Amino acid sequence: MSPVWTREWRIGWGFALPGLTLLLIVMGFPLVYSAIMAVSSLTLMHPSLSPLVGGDNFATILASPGFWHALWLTFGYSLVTVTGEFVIGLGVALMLDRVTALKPVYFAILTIPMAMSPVSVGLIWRMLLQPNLGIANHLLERAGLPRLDWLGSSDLAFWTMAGIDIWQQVSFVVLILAAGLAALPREPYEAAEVDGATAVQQFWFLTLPMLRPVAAIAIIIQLINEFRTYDLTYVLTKGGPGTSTEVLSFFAYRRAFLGLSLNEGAAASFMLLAVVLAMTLAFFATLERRAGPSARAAAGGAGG
Amino acid sequence: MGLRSILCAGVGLAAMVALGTPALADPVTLRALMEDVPETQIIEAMLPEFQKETGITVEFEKLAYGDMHDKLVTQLTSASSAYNLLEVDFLWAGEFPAAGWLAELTPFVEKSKFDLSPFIPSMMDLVGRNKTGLYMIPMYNYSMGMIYRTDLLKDAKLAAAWKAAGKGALEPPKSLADYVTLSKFMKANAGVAGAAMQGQRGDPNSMEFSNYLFSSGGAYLDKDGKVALDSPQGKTALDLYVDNVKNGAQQGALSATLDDTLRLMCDGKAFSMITYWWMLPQVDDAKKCPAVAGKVALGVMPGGHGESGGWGWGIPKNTDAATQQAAWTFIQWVQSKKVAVARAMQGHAPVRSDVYSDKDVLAKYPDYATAEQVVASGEAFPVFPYSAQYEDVLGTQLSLAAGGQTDSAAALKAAASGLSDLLKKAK
Amino acid sequence: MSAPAAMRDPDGRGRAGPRRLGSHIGLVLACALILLPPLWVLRTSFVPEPQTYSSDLMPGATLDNYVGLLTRNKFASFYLNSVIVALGSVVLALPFAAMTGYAFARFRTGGRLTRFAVLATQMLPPVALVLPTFAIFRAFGLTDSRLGLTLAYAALNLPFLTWILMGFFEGVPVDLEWAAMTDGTTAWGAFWRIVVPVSLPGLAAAGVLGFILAWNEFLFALVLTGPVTQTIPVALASLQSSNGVQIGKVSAGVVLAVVPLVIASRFIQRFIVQGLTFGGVK
Repeated sequence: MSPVWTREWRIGWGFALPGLTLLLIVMGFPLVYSAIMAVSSLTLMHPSLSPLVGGDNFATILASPGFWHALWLTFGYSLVTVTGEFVIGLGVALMLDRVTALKPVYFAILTIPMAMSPVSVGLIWRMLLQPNLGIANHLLERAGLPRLDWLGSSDLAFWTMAGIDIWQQVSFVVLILAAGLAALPREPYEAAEVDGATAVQQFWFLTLPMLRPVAAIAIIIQLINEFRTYDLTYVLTKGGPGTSTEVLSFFAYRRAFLGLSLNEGAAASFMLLAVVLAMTLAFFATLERRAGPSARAAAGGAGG
Repeated sequence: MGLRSILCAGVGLAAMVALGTPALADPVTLRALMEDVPETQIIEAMLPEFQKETGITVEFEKLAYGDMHDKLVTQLTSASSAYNLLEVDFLWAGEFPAAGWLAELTPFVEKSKFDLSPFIPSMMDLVGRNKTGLYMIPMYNYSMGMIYRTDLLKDAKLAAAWKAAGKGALEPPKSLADYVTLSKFMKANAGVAGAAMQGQRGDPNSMEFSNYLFSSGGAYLDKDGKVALDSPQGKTALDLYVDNVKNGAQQGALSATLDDTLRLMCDGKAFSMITYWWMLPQVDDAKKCPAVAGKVALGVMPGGHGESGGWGWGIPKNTDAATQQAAWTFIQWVQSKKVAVARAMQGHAPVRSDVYSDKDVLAKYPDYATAEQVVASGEAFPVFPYSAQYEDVLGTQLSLAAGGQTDSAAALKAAASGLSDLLKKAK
Repeated sequence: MSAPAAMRDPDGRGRAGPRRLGSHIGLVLACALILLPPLWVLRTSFVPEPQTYSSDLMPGATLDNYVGLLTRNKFASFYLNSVIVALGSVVLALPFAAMTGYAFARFRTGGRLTRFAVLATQMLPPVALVLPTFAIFRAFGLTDSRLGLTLAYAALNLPFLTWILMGFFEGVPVDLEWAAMTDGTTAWGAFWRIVVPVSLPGLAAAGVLGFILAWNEFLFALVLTGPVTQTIPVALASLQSSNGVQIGKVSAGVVLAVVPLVIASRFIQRFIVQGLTFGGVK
């Protein structure tokens, strides 16, 4: 064991500890308490943690038919929204990187949806999409198209909700990717230019690999967000019509606060955590396998 | 822009945050979590008067309905609560006493000789007493009735078409089946939605369907408390409900909430809506709804029984005796005849029969005579600890049936068994 | 502002000509899609409540929604609460997150397990955390206070900010620090004097994202605040009642809530453009 290693180890922990301590102090207790709740008999009607019931709450959740539907729906929903956000976000970020004029204006506009709380976003879109009086259907009708039942049709409600979500969250991704692109070094492009590489080749072999760490983090953060949020469902549809927009976090919310079963709500939440964690790990594993060691090195130490 | 200036700003900000911590509340300050509706504003305007009389300060914190429950639950599960006076919806009227959050009010009533007899029995049963005791005093009601367009009923062309269809005179419907037939007729002939329906899953569609159930003679529970939803009457009610969603209601009924139906009615784009009776003055307002003001009326739910609804006052157990006494003083004052009449003059929806029969009130609001019938004839959604969850269980089935994703028999069966499960869980 | 933007021109990725025009067209299109709903909200905020749903462009003009929101709903003080809490949480979390992120990126501190553990604290739905958080905050007298909410948001922000910054620090060439350190600078000094300035785009982006997260958060704000300490999302949510949604006021509130972020976007844009000089530093 070399002294350099121990020195680095010491410095590293010196940097990391203050943050980790703050996190532990503020999040540690709630996390542990919540975990205990998940294996306890705590409900609003039985306001005590004891007796501990082990896996019973998890079994109850797994056995309820709504759970599996909500789980698959959440997978689909996260996939659709995160893919949409990333593809559109990357496109916009690349275009932003190419222009200089009007850039502040574009940035200012792209920031707007991010500054709205999800509840407000839901209320606003309910107004825009109101089937009988809303402006969206009015414009459709003017254009000679049929009025749509945006949130009241079980076929359309899911896509409407995903669309609104993408509309709000895409700027998040644009911002991170734009900052990532701005921080990329110039030299590789100059070299590629000399070698006569096309724009597509430059994007594929330079931009994308070098952007990988930042892009991966943008995707992970959005994946976590999309898996957990229920605000839009809550304001837009309450999970309906039928069960067509019933996402898993809304399911957990209902268990805890409507069903008064804090223990089952916590259990459902931890299952959601397990799923998100598994997806995150799988995502990183594929990323690394795909990238291979050389690309990984390029990505990890861009210019270094 | 240096890092230092950012850090300096941070220090200043931290100081501001530290100073911003609110001072401790005065012991005789009552704090209640309220919904931001006219009822709350009417009382709020009268609070200085109460303070002058008693020296007790009352503060209202206002939130959206759905958020109130989440917030109250967190507060009431802890050892002491920030609220020492509670506004309790009837959907929580089973849960709060069962969780042991509410003080029993009988001792307060006896000591102060507070007369409960003027309170309308349907309201006392809903947001007053239950089998184990008296936990709330009714505050205001939101029982449901039918608001409809009188001008469309008087329209000669429509009357002729109705007669031609062999239905006789065009007048307010008497039964649920008549109502749905009329609703479909209006949609087909009058260029409006026959019914502005609030079909969003959960509270909106459960409340709305309850009117259909009660007015077709069905019930959630029988006299012995057994589940009776899956009955021929229940089937009739659900079939008519689904029929009206599909053929009488506005487009988008399955995502509509109260807000949507109110705007639709206000805009003159619907013939009727089944809703809280005190929506009438809001629609019948020349400033807010010029399209329909003077052309709307209130009726009891066709079939004779609508859904009851109401709010009550409660006193949390996790406060001290002096505070509880102050809370009782306030409840006594705000629900006294004198104050209730004063509130009613500004549009309060009374829970005391002597307010409905008050001359001044009736002179100002002639419709209160009908309103009293709506309130008195109302029946209640099952009040038990899981009422709110049951709304979601029932609402899901109603939404599936109305959206054509399941048939009404299966939906009714699932809704009934969901109710038995929750009742069992409550025991 | 324009000087670094002009420097941007000669570099390899910003080729002139038709491709730039295409980018402008694409951006205008994207911005139009983003902007149309907020424009309608802006319009609605100036329309009298009864006419808000009219399909006319401007069925009436009034300031009632703003006036009502600011006077009757005491929106100004809730607004101030949001500003204090959101800024405070970022100011508190950003240095911690930067240091932790740097440790993860440069020293692989704690290995992958620690990294993922940090992120995993954010994978639980807030629903499961809100009751225990309330309980412990109550025990320390931190409910109904801006300080409490600031702390909670700092903790919610920390993992995301750490990860975002970790990504950026991974892109910072390590030879810069080595060069400084052979000159006798400590790791601490190299971090603040070399790494942080070079990572300003990332720090700015992370700061803004942290601000947004706190600015929009609802559930913790609902439970941890009281009548005086409410934040914007809670105040706006309370405008939907059993009496209908006061959409005119909601619109006015949204317009007011958007303003500081649009202003901040100019500020971050500067940092993001400055990031270009980073290539030159090398």
